[in-house]
Amino acid sequence: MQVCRVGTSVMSALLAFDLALIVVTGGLSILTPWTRASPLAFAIREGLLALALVARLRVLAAPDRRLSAGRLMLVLAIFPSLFHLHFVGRRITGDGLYYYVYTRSMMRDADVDFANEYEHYDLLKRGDLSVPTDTGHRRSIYSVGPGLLWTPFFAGADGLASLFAAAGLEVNTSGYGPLHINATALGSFTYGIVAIFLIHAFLRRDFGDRLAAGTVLLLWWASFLEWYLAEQPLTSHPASVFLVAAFFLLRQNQAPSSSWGSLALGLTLGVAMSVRWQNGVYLLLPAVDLLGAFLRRESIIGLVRRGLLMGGGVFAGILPQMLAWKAIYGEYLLPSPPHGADFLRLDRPFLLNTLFSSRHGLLSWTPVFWLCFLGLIPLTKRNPRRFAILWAPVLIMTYVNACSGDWWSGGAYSNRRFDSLLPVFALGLAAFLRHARDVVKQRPAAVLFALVLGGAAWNLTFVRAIQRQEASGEAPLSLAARALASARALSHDVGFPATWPASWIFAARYDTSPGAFDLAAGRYLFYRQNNLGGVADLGTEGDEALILNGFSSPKQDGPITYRGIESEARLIVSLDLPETLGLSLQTRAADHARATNIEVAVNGNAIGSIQAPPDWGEARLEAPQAFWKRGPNIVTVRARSPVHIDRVTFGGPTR
Amino acid sequence: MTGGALLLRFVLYGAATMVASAGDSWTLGLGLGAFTGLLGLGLERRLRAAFDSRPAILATLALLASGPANGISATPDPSQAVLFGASCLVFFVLAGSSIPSAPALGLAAAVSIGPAAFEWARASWWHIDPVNLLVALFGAHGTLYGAPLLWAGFLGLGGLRREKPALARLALAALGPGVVSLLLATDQAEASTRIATWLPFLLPGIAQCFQKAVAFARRRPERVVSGAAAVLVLWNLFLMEQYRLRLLPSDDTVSFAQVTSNSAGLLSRLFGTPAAWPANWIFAWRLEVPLDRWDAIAGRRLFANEKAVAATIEIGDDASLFAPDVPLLLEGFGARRTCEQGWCRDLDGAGRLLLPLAGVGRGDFTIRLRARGQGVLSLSLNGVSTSVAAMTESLSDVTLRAPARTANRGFNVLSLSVAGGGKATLDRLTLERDLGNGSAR
Repeated sequence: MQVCRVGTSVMSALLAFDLALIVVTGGLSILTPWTRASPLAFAIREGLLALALVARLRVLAAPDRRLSAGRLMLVLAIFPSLFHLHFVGRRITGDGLYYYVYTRSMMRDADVDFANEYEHYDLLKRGDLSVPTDTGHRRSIYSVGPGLLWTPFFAGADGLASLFAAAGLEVNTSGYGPLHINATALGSFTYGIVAIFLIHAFLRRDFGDRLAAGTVLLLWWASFLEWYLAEQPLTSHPASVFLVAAFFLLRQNQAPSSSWGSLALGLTLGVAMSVRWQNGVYLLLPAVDLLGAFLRRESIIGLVRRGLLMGGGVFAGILPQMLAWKAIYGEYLLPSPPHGADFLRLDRPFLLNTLFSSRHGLLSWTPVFWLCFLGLIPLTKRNPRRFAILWAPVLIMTYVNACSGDWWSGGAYSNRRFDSLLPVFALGLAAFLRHARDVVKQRPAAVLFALVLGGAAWNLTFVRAIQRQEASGEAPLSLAARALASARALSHDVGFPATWPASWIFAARYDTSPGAFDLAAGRYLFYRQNNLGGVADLGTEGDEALILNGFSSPKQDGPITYRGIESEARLIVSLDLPETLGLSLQTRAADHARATNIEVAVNGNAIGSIQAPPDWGEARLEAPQAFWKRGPNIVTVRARSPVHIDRVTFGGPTR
Repeated sequence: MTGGALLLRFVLYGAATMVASAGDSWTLGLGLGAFTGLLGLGLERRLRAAFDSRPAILATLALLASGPANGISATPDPSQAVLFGASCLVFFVLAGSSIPSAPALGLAAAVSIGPAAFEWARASWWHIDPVNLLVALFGAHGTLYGAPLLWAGFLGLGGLRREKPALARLALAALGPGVVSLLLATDQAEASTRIATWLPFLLPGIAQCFQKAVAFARRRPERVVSGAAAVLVLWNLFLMEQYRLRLLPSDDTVSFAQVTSNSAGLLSRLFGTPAAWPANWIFAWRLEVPLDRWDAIAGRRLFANEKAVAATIEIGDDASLFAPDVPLLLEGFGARRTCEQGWCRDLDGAGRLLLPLAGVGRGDFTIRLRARGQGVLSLSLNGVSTSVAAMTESLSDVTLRAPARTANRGFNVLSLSVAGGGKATLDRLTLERDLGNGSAR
């Protein structure tokens, strides 16, 4: 038995090392050094490692040292994710570049002056990065924490590079090469995997091994976590989840009741704040813990000592960020986020959009979070003293995220800025799943009813698509085409379920179909990236986002694309700030013989009328600031006889 | 049972039919809805004699909510509803006896194959082929495709045979001949008319299956919850994949209808549409085509009707997912591009086109391909008839004339190749058939 244990241990270690080597080197294997590992070879190694681990940790292990079934499930779930990381995942893309330059600069130059890194990535010409700061550095709006936590893996890549060089192999040691980037990506992935096990450990006490594991698996594979573990590992999210999970586990294990525990808790939270500044919200929890201890009349001296140690830990944890800011901006603490003073606008929350918009809405993209929110309710009811406090970070972080300038989190997968809440969400999800299990046990027919409803929906949405003439009942359709027609019918009739209830509110507010919410909510005329540039170009691809009703299908007249209106039509355009705007309408009368009059109103307020000439022509009106609202605005166009509209251009006032 | 509960079930049973029929006229919708609601109450009553109330109610609801899937059309068909109602009545009467007699079983079989026999007697042509059965059940307008829950009607027969053998015999007496009758294709009514008469006989199997499912859910609730959780995981995996493939804008609003469509496309391409299993696997294996091709091909008719002598397929004209040419293109074709006055697609070296034909006529079958390019383009139908022609710089016809016997009823493969691996630009495909005189029967 002992021989088998040693054998499987050695085999596991060898295979794990080989897989890590393949990921870091991009294919080099010690088992098959003559060839690069193909996807099949990688999968076979993963399968063998899985078997070896099952044998070593379950079959051959002594009964009292056996790995729990839940943990084993999580171990096995790593393999598809690792495959994803190696063969599919990206490396230096989006924010990942700006976090990675910290690692490279700290390890190669021992500073946070990114001029050489930005130059390497051809970013020095970019407006905001071309000008040095007061200290002569180049600015970064990103935190130092992730880059700092990745340094051990960068150093590991250095060690590997030295070995390769000694063996006479050609290797890129600049820090920009694949070896260092892959090692750093694997490191970030590792933080994420450890976070998963920490969350599992955090849940086990209340929910047992298997339910905790099922919860973590669901959160991992049904949320943005897998994306940021394997697809875009070089972001702050894996490290942030890791540190927050460690913080919750330490707190659950009564760390604040001891001196060393208080220091560890403070340090964890401090580093977490260096990774994502908003993790500072969690300072609230140990503060409440200390207050509770004070109210329970615990020793004041002990409380002060633990409080000071915790504070010291927090300070030590955030010190790297303070030093980085001092080096880059000349200040230890910045009065506003480096993104700009108007990035966080606490008086302007976009709550419905943040949660339900099709632009990376948390609940619309990843509906699993609905269960997390819902599950927190029975959890709080069951044990309010322990869990009610968790609503505070949930509400504060949700509010802060909704107040961010780009509430849609840029080019994100779902709303990734909620990553710090994953341990809290895991609690809610576990509670929901437990409740769901009880409901199914008591009312098993309800499941069948849901299934029958699903069958009816599959069937009836297509019937509605045929009735709306979006599909034909004659020619068979591909599944993609049928799904498109059915989902359009569903969205038109009742809104897409993932957007409920925001789409209903939108429909009621703007007197339109809830289906219009998808494309319209979150598309701006002028605000931030990918805005419309002030032009509502009708007839072009994607103009459905601007149309509420009254327009014909897109038409073309030579190079001009347009839509027609019979008498009245409504456009919807979104603004971040109300301001006086000019509206230039490019129109023509449909009968091409004589001009026709068009009246225009903004949010029900008439702003004047123009003439649509027999051939294409542009006319301008002006709508004062008082007529506009923040968010969606309705522009109504009324014509005495049919007209064609090519585009409406919104711009500053003429004066 | 309270009057309220009865009314609620009446409304539930009739709702799907009402929504489906209300497109043209609310009066017709309400009438057919009420008719279906009454049928539902009767069927449920009969099932409750043999099953627990909830499986009985849900089985009835599953059947009636899937009604509109059978015979989908823009205009509702009251005659089909009458046929369905009559077969429900027969089921109601026959299922009432504890041991069905031989005449009763014979009546069930007769009801189930009656419409097929009637069609056959009136048909100017007919043919029997397993593909007809697959299309009728698993094609995009097939019964089990439109109403996958009806699978339970067949799956439940095993358990039913052990626990309620009388009901099992009755169901089998109708379903067996009914399903076999789907092998037949004629120039007459759609298969959905034939299916309408044996649909009620699926009820005992559905109820049996649901009863077992309820017991399973009570025994193993965590597995049911896991199954539901798997749906969330699937949603996320498909969303990740389409985001990764840039099928969605990375930083803009998206249409969730488009997201659903992309996910469905990925699912169908990877595994085939689950509602079409196993027909799509068989089809893909036999013709060496992608798994997702079945949905848009099965049941497609290139000729507008039985009397049409020509069919035209514009290549590249339609950019939407509903484009009629896309399902026919197997491999070797490029994206849409402009050519002369319209839209075309390029053929890169060699390619294959799928031609689903319900009838090929009696005389020569002609294929005209409007194309341009350099070199020689050869066409081959089912690897038998071949034609070779030189292309010109402007669009012109390349013609393949094949004897009718070389074209099949069903799926045909047209192979195209440009000599030397060159490119050809294809604008339009025209099929012509010679229907001749007299009947094919």
